[in-house]
Amino acid sequence: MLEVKNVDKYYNTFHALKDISFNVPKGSVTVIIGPSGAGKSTILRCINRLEVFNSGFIKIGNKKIIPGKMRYNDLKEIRTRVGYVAQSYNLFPHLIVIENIILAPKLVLHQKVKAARDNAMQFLEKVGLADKADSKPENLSGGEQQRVAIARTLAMNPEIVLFDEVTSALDPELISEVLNVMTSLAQEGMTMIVVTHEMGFARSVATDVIFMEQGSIVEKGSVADVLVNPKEARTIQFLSKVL
Amino acid sequence: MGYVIRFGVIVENIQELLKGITITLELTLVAIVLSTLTGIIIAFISMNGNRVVKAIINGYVEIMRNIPLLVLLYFIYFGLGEISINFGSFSSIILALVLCNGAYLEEIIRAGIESVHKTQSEAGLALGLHNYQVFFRIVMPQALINVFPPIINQYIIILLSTSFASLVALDELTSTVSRLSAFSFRTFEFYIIGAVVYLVFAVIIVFVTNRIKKILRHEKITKQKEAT
Amino acid sequence: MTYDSILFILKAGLMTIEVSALAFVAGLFLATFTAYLSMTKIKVLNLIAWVYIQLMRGTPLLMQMFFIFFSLPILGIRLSIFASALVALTANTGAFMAEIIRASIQSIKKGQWDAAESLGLSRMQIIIKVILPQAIRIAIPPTIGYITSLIKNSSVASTIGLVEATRAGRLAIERTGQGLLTLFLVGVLYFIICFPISKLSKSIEKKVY
Repeated sequence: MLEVKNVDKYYNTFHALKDISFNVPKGSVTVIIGPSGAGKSTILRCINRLEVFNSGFIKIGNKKIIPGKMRYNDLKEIRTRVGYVAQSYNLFPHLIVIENIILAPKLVLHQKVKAARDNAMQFLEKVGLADKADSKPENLSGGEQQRVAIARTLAMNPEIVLFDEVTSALDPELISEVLNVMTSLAQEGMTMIVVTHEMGFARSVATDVIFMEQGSIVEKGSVADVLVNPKEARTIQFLSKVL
Repeated sequence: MGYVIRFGVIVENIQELLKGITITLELTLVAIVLSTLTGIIIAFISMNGNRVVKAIINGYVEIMRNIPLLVLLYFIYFGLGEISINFGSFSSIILALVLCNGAYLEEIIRAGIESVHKTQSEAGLALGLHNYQVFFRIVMPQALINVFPPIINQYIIILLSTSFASLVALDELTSTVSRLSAFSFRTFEFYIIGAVVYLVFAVIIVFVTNRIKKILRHEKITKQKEAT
Repeated sequence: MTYDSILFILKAGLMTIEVSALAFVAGLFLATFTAYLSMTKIKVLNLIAWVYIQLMRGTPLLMQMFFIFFSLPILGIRLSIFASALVALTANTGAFMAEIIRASIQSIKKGQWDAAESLGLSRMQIIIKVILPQAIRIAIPPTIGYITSLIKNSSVASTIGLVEATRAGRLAIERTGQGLLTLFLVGVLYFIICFPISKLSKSIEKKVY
């Protein structure tokens, strides 16, 4: 359902993404691993067009993302289909939790307040935070904030959700609560692309793995192909350091 | 409009302009140095004083924050004369500038030190350093770095405030400019020069202060290196 | 110190408040526009905003007022005392508040823009619903500080003849001959006006948030 083809990106003269191509079938969980600076976050941010790439294209269903300017209406279409959760959760501090979640459904999907609220409460329950609906973001722990961020993204009913190192900024004991939410989401059949260092999660939940280094895809395939029987030397090297 | 800019007028009156510029420069330098000293001393007294001392200093700062410099200046120059305290033009403007900006600088300096103080002091003491070592080698360098931008800002305010000297009969740049432009009916030229001079002085202040900051940082860093 | 004089000064105090308030409101519009200019991608507009701000912040208010009141007539623009003072103070406000506005908006983490964009909100929606509410709260303390500064700066208008608190004080001295007391009272008047405003800062912050 998602196709990335020959994507190249430059930051001025720095070649950040080199000819990236991969496919994401519906219902799959693709985990992207690799050292820092590999371009993992960059390609993710290209998929929801937070970043602009220089050549190639990305197709989501029948919608295409191209280099160069895109109109807001097209962008809106893409962003309602592609959910994105970042490392720094970025809840809106001036709104309470439930308001954070219903803001976009109201403004972008034009949902009525009551419907949006009911929807939001559903997702809050799903991430286990129904009791925090009226809390301020600053009063929640990191793990709780991240789960609210996930609920906020899910409330828009995306077809695919991108997770950008969402547990990297969390205290260790808070990581599992977020990973649990992601695991149950995967089990429900949500298409996900996850950039992470959590190898345990990758091994147990992922269907596909992509290993990136210095802007290129070194190896990609199923979990068995990449994590258990890696073929490239660099993949083996990286995995030996993290597993 | 029929107004043609002729900078020849500037050249004709260059002597007067230079006089005005010199006075502005003098006032600015003296005021900056004295205000800074005042600020440092009062900050020190405030941080090491008891509650009464702190309250008095707070009161002084609040007064300086809430009354205009102009009123303070008139009070010193015109008002004090009635109880036989006669300050001349130069002393009045300097006194007013120092009283007012000294308070602002004290707040800036004190805030800078206090913002670094607690956690850094704990870290230093935990490592076994002595009290005053902690202050000079750890707290002060960091405080100075935090504190320089608002200080530079305040110095520029001092520079611009010297214009009030014209109201107590000192012929500094602003009054010179307005006088010359009135006499010769050439407004743009003189005001442009005036603006340029102030802006150049501001740039110089920023530059010099940044230099001092670099020198101090370097000194502290080498001292720290020597200590280890 | 006659009753009349005190009344005179108090009434002039109203002028102080009036000219400051008008300058602030007018200046706020100018500031919003200037802040917008300084943040667009068009470099020329950025430059215009920058030059304006540097001019206002880098030259004495006194010189600005002298220019507007004494020199502009030579070019054919004759403004009244009140208008001159208002123009000068408005121009001043425009520049300083523009910087406050710009700094407040730019202090909001990029992540907020990202998160809102990712959810599909349009640029306008993001600015109004996510960025501005946060920026306004951040801007309150420096704005209150500026208002105090503005009220004090209005005293400079006394030099071009505006009858506000400071000028009234000097006029009263001529009548009563009691400089010390009069100026002291003028100082107290400014204090009474300014002091509560700075204390107001805390309670306004709570309400808006």
